[in-house]
Amino acid sequence: MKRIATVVIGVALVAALVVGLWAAFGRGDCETAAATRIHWTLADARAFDEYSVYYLGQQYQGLPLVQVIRTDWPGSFPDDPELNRPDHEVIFVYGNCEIPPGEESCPAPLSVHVRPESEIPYEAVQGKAGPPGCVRGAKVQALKNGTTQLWTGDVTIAITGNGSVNIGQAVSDLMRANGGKPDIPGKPFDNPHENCVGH
Amino acid sequence: MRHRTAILTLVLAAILGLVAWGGSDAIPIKETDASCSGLAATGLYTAAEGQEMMASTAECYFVGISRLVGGCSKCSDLYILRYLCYTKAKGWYYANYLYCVGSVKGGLYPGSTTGEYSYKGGSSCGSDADRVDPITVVFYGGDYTDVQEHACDHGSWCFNSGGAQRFWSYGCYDQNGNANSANPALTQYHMRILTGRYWDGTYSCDSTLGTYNVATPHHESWGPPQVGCGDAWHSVYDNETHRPGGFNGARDDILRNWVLNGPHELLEWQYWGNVQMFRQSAGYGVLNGCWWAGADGWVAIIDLGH
Repeated sequence: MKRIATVVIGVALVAALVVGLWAAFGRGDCETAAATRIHWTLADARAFDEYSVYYLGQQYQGLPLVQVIRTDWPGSFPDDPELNRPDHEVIFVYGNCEIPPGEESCPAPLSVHVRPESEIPYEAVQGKAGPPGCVRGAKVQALKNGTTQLWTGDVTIAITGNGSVNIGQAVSDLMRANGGKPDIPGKPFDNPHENCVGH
Repeated sequence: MRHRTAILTLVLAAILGLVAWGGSDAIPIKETDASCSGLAATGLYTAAEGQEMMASTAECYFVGISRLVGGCSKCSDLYILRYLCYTKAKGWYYANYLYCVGSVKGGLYPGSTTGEYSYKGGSSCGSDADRVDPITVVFYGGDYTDVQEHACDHGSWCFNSGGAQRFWSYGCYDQNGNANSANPALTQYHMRILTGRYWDGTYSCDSTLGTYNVATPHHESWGPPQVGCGDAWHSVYDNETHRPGGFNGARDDILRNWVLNGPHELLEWQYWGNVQMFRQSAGYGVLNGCWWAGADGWVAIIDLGH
């Protein structure tokens, strides 16, 4: 009887160890286990040369840059252009949020999403909050959901958040991460949209 | 037997009550409009004409009612009421008349009449901080039961479980239902579904495509939360190490099963810009942070009919 109890306790301890390690070290799978690095850093964004990348610095309005994400997804249906939605974003997430007890997620305070201009044609945009404008040479469209979308040069940029940050101000404060202009907030983009040259 | 007769009488009375209510805004229909029904062998009248005929008779007996879903328009069903009437002057005759119940009202206007995310259960859908999941698919031409049926038929998302969340559609409503791919609901595909509503709580109905349903498909992992990230055992797959991420991936699973390998039509892509990033309870390890998941902002508009 004592031996059975010892075995049961041993099994329970091993199980607790496994669960604890999983909780501490994350949910790996074959894909992530094989990778030498888990995700992008700011240094990767700075060295990136496929298209212009814009961000808001290493912290913005007191919010730290908590994650840089590279999606680099060719789409789930590369042989079917009608269904396919490629997604080649560089995403900067600013600030953390606490998942409340009983909830499964929480919305980031602020994020900046940069992707090739061809992935979001202006004509497909729904929920516009008004006519487009020009800011620092970029074509800017505010959406009713609080997102602001910009087009400048070879990229389109979405800025969104959970309502705690002034998105309009963030549009004015974007900077180039991988060389080029603007290298400080407020200056014009070095590659203006064709409809916003000089604006 | 007496009970059965009483129940039947009650059911008929309820149907008549419904039709009478709908008749307050009944739309007159030309007889030719009802030709698709094939039910009008003895002549058809508008609701006003039919009621006038009945009022002038001494005896009328209700003999049947037929409903043709969408018989008047995408947003309006055709009802045919059949009475057998008698007067001395005319003898026995049928008074068959029509009602259209329902009308074009509301519509899908992202960001205004339709919210672009689901919101926390119990919330008022008014705060961006209460966002939970992005809407990435709109199903047109039926209600949430049709979505659930097709989700099971085409994608094996055959279960209906999930905590309460809310959607904005001319007002704030709990979801109508869910479609899950697993039972118990561990690692799974899952979406919450709301059939679009109007101000008065009835189904909103677009003039060209009819009723519509908004849905929040996501692919979620089940396992212990990472220390420091949260306490939930469900986490939507992140965008970087589980490309294209749990939100985009679940939407694409629907496209694969319903459209590419199924009979449904992708009507349109719309860019809603609902790209909010959501922190998850799972992570890459305590030194590498928590998962973040978000949609790419594109919404697939899919026809429920086929």
